[in-house]
Amino acid sequence: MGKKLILLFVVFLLLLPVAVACPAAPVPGLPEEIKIGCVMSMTGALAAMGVNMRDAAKLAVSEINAAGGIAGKKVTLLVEDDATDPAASLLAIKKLVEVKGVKVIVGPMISGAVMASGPYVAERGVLLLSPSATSPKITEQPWTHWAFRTCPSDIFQGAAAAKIIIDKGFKKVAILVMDNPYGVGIETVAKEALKGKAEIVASIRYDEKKLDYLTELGIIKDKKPDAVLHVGYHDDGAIVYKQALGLGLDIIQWVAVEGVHGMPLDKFPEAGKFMAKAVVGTVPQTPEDLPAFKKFRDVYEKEFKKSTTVYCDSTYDATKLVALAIKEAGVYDGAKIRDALWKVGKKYSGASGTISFDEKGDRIAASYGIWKVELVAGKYHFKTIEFITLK
Amino acid sequence: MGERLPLVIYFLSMVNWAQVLFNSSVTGCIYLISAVGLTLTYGLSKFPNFAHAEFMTLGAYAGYFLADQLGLGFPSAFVAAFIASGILGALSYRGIFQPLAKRGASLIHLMVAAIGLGFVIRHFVGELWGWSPRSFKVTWSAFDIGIVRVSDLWLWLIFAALAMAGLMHLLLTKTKIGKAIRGTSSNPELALASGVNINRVTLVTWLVGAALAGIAGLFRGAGTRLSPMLGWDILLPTFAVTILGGIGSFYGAIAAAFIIGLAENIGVVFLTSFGISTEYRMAIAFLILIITLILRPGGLARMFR
Repeated sequence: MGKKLILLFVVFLLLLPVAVACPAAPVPGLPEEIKIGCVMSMTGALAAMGVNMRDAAKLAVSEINAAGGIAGKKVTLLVEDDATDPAASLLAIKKLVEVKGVKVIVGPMISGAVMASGPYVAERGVLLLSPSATSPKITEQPWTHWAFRTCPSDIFQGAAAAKIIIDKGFKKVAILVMDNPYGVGIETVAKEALKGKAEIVASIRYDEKKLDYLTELGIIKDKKPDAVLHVGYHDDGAIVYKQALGLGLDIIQWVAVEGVHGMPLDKFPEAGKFMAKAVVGTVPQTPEDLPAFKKFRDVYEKEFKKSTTVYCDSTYDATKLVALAIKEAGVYDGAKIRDALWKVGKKYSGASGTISFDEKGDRIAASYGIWKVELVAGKYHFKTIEFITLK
Repeated sequence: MGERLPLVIYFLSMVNWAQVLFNSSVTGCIYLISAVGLTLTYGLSKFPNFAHAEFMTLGAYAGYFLADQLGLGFPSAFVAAFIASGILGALSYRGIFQPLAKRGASLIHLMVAAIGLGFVIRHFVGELWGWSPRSFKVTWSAFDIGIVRVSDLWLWLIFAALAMAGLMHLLLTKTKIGKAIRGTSSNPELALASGVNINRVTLVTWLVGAALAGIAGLFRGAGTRLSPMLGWDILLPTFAVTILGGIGSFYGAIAAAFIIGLAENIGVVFLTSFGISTEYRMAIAFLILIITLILRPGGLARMFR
């Protein structure tokens, strides 16, 4: 017992300096180097998307620095990988906060990651600004004002997907979603929107890591729906479509959302074949004739020799907004930057359209593109066929 | 729950059970091909080889390399997977596990070595082929047999599993090496005393077991996608099959593979009808495993002796 007490005492002594050091008051003025964290999927199910988004953030930072930084101070972007995984994401954020002393982070990418990190960042007074986490559940959390978003909540997207189904006159709908906050979020909203308009013949939640969905798809086939509403990411989506093609489910209409948009179809030829035949979907998208978007797209394509994909514009806007908020706050402190973000985030005209935050840090209003997949010259690619705006 | 019950019954009556049974055998066949190697190597070397997952992964990528990257066509993938994983298995035994065992390594040492080897192979594959998933460029044709939707890949898989089971049965019962494998597995001292070359028998078992794992990995890769995590993703059910079948028992594994396959697929139907996520399908398989082990601690093996 005595030994244990001594040990405890030693541990306590060791921790003492940490405890004393922690609540250090924010230094007035800005540090010489202003750090902006960036947590995106460099690996994982959405790596294809994450790398493009990281480049958008890089572009924003290099533009800020070229224009003299924030009040003359240089901005550094610290990128960490979230592996499209909530646990990995929380670790990446902890590393940025504890080791690098970051107070504001662009990211993480997925809703599950924001849900996992929210309580931690709220406790540490660190601000998240996610360009792509769309689950409506984030809004309901007590820490929601620490997790801002430059992408619209899926309250809009679920409604947009349901609108496609209703507009096309489908009466029997099967819902197939990933069992995570993103999938279930859209499922809930879409079910509400479809109530009284269409019958839901099956509602299936699947494990996005299992990667074998024959029986789930078999059940959908047996229910003979007119349309399937599907929410997935790239990896699982590719297998859902490949196996759906095998089961002959390409004769019914599939309505998907932005999680499968931008899937690398040259890698998944069967998924491409299925999507070209059977899938339309929604994607938060800025009308392409918007001057700010055009300008961003041209610079991005010139800089990185590739096209922009979904959420590149909102990542770019998020990074620029963070810089504006730091400048407005005048100190490098999470809470102050957040309060400043509400100020600068009022009718901000960004590459992704006009951004205004509500009191929960969510974006007001959203515009969506409706996409389909086309086969042109032997290659599958995504094409937007019309735009809708929801408020 | 009371109000939901008629709904659930209605739901279950709407399901195409023939299709569910067919899917179960597809799932079961992959587990079977991969579990045979695991159970046989356990029988001889007496430790769970966690690197078995990566034997599957490597087989899938070796097949992908020959069939897609060199463009030699899908049948060549089988040869590549079989040979690459077989050699890897034999080398792992000769280079790592046999020397360790000779120096008196315990179960824990061998197990940790296997986990380490698995990591090395997985990251090797990841560095060589990249961490983002890949997919075979072959498109499988699908068609209806009665009310069951099948694809030629699934039929090939079932055929391969049956052929493998038949050949392994003949090997184990009719050939000298097969009898030596069984003998060594049940009583190594006696086998040694009867003049069996235990080293050679064990090496052959590792080679064949790993080669079969490679084939299982190839089927899994062709049916879903290739990723460095491919083998790891199905190692858990493979272990479940091995344990349910009775560790070291080939015939137990056959029965267990189909029981686990069936449990997973019927599980999906029931979970869906209750509106629960199908993520829990493995939980149902493990529930069956646990109940079986409580009732029959030796697994199903005793029923097949």
